[in-house]
Amino acid sequence: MVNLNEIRLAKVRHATELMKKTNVVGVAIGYKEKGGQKTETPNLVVMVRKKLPLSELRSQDVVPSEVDRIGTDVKAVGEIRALNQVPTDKWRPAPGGVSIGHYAITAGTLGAVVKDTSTNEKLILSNNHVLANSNDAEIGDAILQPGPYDGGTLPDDTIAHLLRFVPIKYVLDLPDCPISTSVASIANFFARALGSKHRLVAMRQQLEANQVDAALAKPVEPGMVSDEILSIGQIVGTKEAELGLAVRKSGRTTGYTTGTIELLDATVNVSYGTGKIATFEGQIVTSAMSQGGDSGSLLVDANENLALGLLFAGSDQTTIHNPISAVINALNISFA
Amino acid sequence: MINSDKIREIKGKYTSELLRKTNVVGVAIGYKEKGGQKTEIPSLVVMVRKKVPLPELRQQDVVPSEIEGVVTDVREVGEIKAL
Repeated sequence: MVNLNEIRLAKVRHATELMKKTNVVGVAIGYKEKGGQKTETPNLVVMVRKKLPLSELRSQDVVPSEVDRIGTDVKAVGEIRALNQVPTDKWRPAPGGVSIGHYAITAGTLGAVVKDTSTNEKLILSNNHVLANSNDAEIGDAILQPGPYDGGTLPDDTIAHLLRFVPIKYVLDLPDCPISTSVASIANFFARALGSKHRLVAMRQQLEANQVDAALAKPVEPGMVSDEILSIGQIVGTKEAELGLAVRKSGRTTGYTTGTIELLDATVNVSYGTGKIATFEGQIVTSAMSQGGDSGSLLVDANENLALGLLFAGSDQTTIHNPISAVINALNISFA
Repeated sequence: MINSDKIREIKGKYTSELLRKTNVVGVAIGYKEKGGQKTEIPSLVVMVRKKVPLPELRQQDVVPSEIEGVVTDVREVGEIKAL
């Protein structure tokens, strides 16, 4: 049996040389794994970003099966990052779950990288109120990562440009406005007098409903974004929401959080600040799992990497999401 | 047992009227909660900014406990804001 000291020696002698090989990110000591099972044989573990078939490697990049008669074990660990990098930092490539925003807003969340169904281009998915400044942006406007509130500035932090968005239809929020109410009652008086069935209701709830608060931005370079979502990984497809389903999301402000789908087919009035209200229908309501700045996060099934919705609104008690099918249809995109 | 098609139909019919009541911010479909516990009764959930005692509500702002046989559930959710 090889003893640990011999492995340690071999590691000291060969670490530098192994670290020079393409894809190798670390060297360590551990038990060899065979067919996914841990054995009791200690060996030298070579950590690589990604396992590649021998045929795709130059001979100098191949990890030998043993060094100084110590067995090696190649283990895929992905890119290793300092764990103190937080969602509000600058990320290149930028994964889902980090801060992003139109240059004139505060900050929201980069939901995920999706594909344009027509052009196959990689695009950034988030909310209209994150990427398109709640309808006030122009196509081509700069999108910053991190968002302005987190220190993102023009032009150094420009990661993408606004490509398209679904305009938000607002209703006037005048529930107790005496003028609108009296205009409506005067009009209704005449409507009644004329025997008309079409009465005016005080203007607020003429439902001009929205389905989504969604927008797309095109990365400056495809390599500036990552297909992964922080703490979740890569999305492999979509799924329809169901009552009681366990869910999760990764967002700029509250990071990785979990929740449950509590209500479906919700029609809700959402406040966009300074008296602007928009009505949304067909929405998904979950337990509280977000705060300001989490807008744009992708709502994902707790057990599989399937997208369910796009987080965009909420309160201390609840979080509201657009169904992912409506987002996909409105923006002509797909996952993977 | 009420099926979800029936609830959807009632929801379609009464949503505008419910949204006009003071404090109501949303209408949705979900299981009724009783004493903080989820039951298995599907219901029309009326989301309100704040639960207000009946005597403090004008009659037209009261959410009926059922509509055409569909049970309602008034749930406090606060003010819903874009995040």
